[in-house]
Amino acid sequence: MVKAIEFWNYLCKELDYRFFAGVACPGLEPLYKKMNSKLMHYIPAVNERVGLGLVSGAYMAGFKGGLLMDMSFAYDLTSFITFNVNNKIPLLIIGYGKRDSTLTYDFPSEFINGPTFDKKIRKVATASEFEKVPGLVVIKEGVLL
Amino acid sequence: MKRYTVVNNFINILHGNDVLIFSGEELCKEVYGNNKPNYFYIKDSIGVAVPFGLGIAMCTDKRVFVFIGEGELMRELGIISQIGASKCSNMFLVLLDNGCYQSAGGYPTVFENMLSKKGFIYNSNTKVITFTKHFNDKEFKKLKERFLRLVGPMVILMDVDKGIKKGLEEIDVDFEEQRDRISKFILDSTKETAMFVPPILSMSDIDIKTLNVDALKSEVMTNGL
Repeated sequence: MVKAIEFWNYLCKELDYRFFAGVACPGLEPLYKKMNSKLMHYIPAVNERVGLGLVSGAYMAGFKGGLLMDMSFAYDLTSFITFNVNNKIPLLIIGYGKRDSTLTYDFPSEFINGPTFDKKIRKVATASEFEKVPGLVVIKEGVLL
Repeated sequence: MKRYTVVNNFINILHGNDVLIFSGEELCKEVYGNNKPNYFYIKDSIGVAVPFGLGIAMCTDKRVFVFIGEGELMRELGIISQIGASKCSNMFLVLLDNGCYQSAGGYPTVFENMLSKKGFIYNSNTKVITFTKHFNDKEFKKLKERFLRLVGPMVILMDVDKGIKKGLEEIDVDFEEQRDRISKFILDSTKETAMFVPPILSMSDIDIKTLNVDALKSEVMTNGL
């Protein structure tokens, strides 16, 4: 299990992600409840594409950011992130869903299904920042507390 | 007036420290001849320009102007509400309304069918000013001083004629270079923005021991508050 408060503490304090945007996803409810305005800034976006734009803009102004979204959108994830891939703008997509853990993308991605979430997030975040591409972490259903 | 003329006249009355984002291949080409470090071109990726600009505006005190056509706005109508909700005083959306999808053959957009374009924007808690297509370059120049004091979030709705300026230079930008260039420009805080206001010190920031109260009193007596 992954405690939402530990998730945020790790992401914001250890990895210095401070700007988040996203759309409402029932599965990520524990994350919304444990948001701490002293650590982070969260913008509820009207849709995923707007959220992506907001986080990418914030990166230009020096803030590392993440996008919270439901992975039901994932069928079109590659074209969804075209803007970031073309312009080499990194961001961390925090998804939720039933995604098959064997499914691979051509950008850094990990499937979080247990307490080793910190190592997986660090791996994706480091690769994303180094390669200047989006990174994806998908939180498995029922893992968040 | 043609979009090429309107956009270039408009850019001339902006502050050199404003961030300008252009969306759409044809529009990018129309301003590329006058390329500057504060310009960012989005040739494809329809619908990302405005949230991208808003993300920048949320994290800087520089003014951000995003130039899009009304056809692109129709793809992401919700962005108007997002701009209004952000209350970003440095966010400006320049909406170039030519009534059609110019790059796709010129068939009309549904924006033309709205009962009140201004009303639609007002309802999203966003200020709006409009320019008719009869506005000429002399009138633009008269507005320069006023434009430096504009407070957003605001939509600047401009009526422009149909048509694209032909024979323009192709855009040749390296995406990575463009990203680094605009990021450096945004993070360069040595240049004041048009909206720059010196911060007001709170009482806790003032060291009372170093204040010369007698000198302050005599200054008030002579000059008034």
